[in-house]
Amino acid sequence: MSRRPAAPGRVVSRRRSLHLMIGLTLVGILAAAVIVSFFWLPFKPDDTSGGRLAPPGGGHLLGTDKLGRDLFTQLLIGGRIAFATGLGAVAVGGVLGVTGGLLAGFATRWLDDAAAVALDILIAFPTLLLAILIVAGAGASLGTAILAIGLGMAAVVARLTRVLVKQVLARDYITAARVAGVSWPRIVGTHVLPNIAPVVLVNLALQAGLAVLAEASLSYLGLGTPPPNASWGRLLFEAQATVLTSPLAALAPGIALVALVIGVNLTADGLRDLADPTRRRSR
Amino acid sequence: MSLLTVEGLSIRNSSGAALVSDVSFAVAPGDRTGLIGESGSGKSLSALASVGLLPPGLTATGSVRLDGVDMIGAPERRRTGVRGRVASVVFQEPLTALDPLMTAGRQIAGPLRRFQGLKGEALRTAVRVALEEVRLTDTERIGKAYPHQLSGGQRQRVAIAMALACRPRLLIADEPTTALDVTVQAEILDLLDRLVDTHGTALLFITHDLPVVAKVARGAHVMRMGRIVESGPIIDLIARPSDPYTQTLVESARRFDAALGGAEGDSSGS
Repeated sequence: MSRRPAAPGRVVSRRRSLHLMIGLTLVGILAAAVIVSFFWLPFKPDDTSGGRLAPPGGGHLLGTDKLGRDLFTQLLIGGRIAFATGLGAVAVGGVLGVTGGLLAGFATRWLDDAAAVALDILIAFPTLLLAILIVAGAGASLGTAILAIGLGMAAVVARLTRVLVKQVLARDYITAARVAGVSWPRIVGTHVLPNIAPVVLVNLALQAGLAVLAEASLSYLGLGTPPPNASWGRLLFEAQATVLTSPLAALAPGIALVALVIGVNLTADGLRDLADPTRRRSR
Repeated sequence: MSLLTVEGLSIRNSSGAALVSDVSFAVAPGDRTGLIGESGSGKSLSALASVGLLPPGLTATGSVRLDGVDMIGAPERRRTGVRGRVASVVFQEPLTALDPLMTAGRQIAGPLRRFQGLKGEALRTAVRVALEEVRLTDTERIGKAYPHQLSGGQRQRVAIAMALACRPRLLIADEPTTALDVTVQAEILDLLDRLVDTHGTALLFITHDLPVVAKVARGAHVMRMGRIVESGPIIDLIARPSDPYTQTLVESARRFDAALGGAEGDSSGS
């Protein structure tokens, strides 16, 4: 929308594409490990033959936990849960949020005010607190955690979508399309959605990182994925007691978590460029 | 019969304040009418109401008939039908009048495909012809360019091509030259003038600029604070303005001409 001088735009663009590269590399490595984990795991998840709290070595890349389970295996399984949470929560939050935001964006008068207030109230509620309430009511499971995090995300996405839709609807090209007799569904499909997509997608990608963190927090509190499925949050919690004797058990899930969240955020940052022709280089 | 007849049009906002009151004017087929007024005088709202597209929250009363269809009372389906067939609009700011994510060519192709059912090579040719018609050279590049890759004048030409692509019978030009450089302004006015002439399109020209409307329109209505304060042939308005507001408009235009050396000072007389 804003016209920037070409030269600084280029520099920003180059830095962004570096972000995208690093981000995609981080996410890609972790995603590859997760995919591999579906076909091959170094040990069975419940194999305790390694002995309790064994140091790294002897086939146990990261050693074993206090029950004798292989830590690297647990880490891989935790990765599945992290990716499931990120993707699942974005799916829930994206579909509900964009739909709700679109409807709210078209609302006028009192309905519009009502939608704005309702969304503000939902957002004022911390996502984690909302999730804890839902999990406390419905029982701890990965599905509930994803749903709870997704619902919290939906409110944020809906508010963003609503404002973006209102901005786009005020533009003359929408009026021009209406004068030309284009129907509302077509206008939404060809003008509104493509124009809000860059911002919404970048926001969803950022939210995916937050969702992974939220699930780890829930699991750390014992409200996320129940045992024996090891979420990174629960691995962190369990490693806490033995952090001085076997620091790797705490470091490994922590580093994995940070790597995934940073990777997702950098990817989100870099994605902005691809969706926005005004920042794309002209052919 | 008139192409567009507006009678006793009033527009109110949600709190009941009148933004436009009791406005009446008509545009006959092939006719050219100007609506002159300062910002907030209700000229753009009147134009939007004549295609039945008021911003949300505003309500119109009175009678607006576009090609015989009641644009205030008729069901949305009928209004949508008549809009696309009969009228199109060129806006003030060509940057927001074009979708930033669509190439100029695709945007011109949209109405051509919908109304004339053109496809493939025929559609490409029609787009090129439309671009050539608004005196754009290098149609190959411009067709593939996004709005931000075009200059202001080029964008406005693309917007005009889009508006005229399907040969509407009424073109509403809402301050089409205000956002442009003065030299580009003159070119765009000439272009509109010629195109409207060739196709016999009726023109409703909205502006705050008296000399601009004098170039393209024959009759004009002067609006102030939601009302039409004076109407008549543009020559009479300039020669014998009766309303005090019109007098100040003419006065300031003359003073501007005089300040430029008065070279064209006598061309505005009767």
